[in-house]
Amino acid sequence: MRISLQFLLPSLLLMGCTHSLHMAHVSDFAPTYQEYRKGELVKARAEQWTFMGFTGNTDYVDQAYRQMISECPNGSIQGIVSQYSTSHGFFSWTNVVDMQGLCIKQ
Amino acid sequence: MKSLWMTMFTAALISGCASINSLSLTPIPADRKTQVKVESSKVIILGFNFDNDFVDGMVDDLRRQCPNGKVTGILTKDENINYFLYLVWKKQVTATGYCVTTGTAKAEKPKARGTASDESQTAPEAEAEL
Repeated sequence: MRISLQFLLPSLLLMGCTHSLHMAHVSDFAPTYQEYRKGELVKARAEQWTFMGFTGNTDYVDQAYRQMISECPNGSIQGIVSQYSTSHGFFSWTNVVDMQGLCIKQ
Repeated sequence: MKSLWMTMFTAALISGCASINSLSLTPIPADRKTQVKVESSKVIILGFNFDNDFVDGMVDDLRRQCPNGKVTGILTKDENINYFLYLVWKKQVTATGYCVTTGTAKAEKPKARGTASDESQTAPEAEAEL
């Protein structure tokens, strides 16, 4: 029994088993429904690993933004869903920003 | 050894920990020639904060940077930067977007829904989807 507890406790501590969604935002679908059907889904994701939350910047958000723009070089992006979440680990966690939207080619 | 601990302690006190509170992104235009950016922040000590007025001027700042167009594709980032063992922190809001000049903005302007010309085009598609 004691041995099994000794295995159980470290395994609980070491694995990242919880995820927390802090916020989700949906932008406008513009210009029209008709053009929405012509769109192509584009996605961007950026992560930041932190130990005990020690980090000096939030540049990963800008990185996701740049990536999103580069996915649709000659068009506009509409209906953008942006999410900010955290995946927890052992004294450390990973901040994640996900963006997805519809690329409407010009 | 003592000096090492002192250095580590001082570094921990001085360095800031940044974290995101919220972010949002509005539709990104095809015309991305002109980028506009506004940043506003406020230092708060021991949590004593009596207003959030530092955010109010941001819209006017964006408007000034794009007087003859519309600002869209705005990434708004609300973040906290904590200093001195979380006794002092800075609230910072950053908005980055693109200024689309009026000519381009008109080209992207949506058609009014429910007009006679739209109905003839959209109705069959809607039926097919059902």
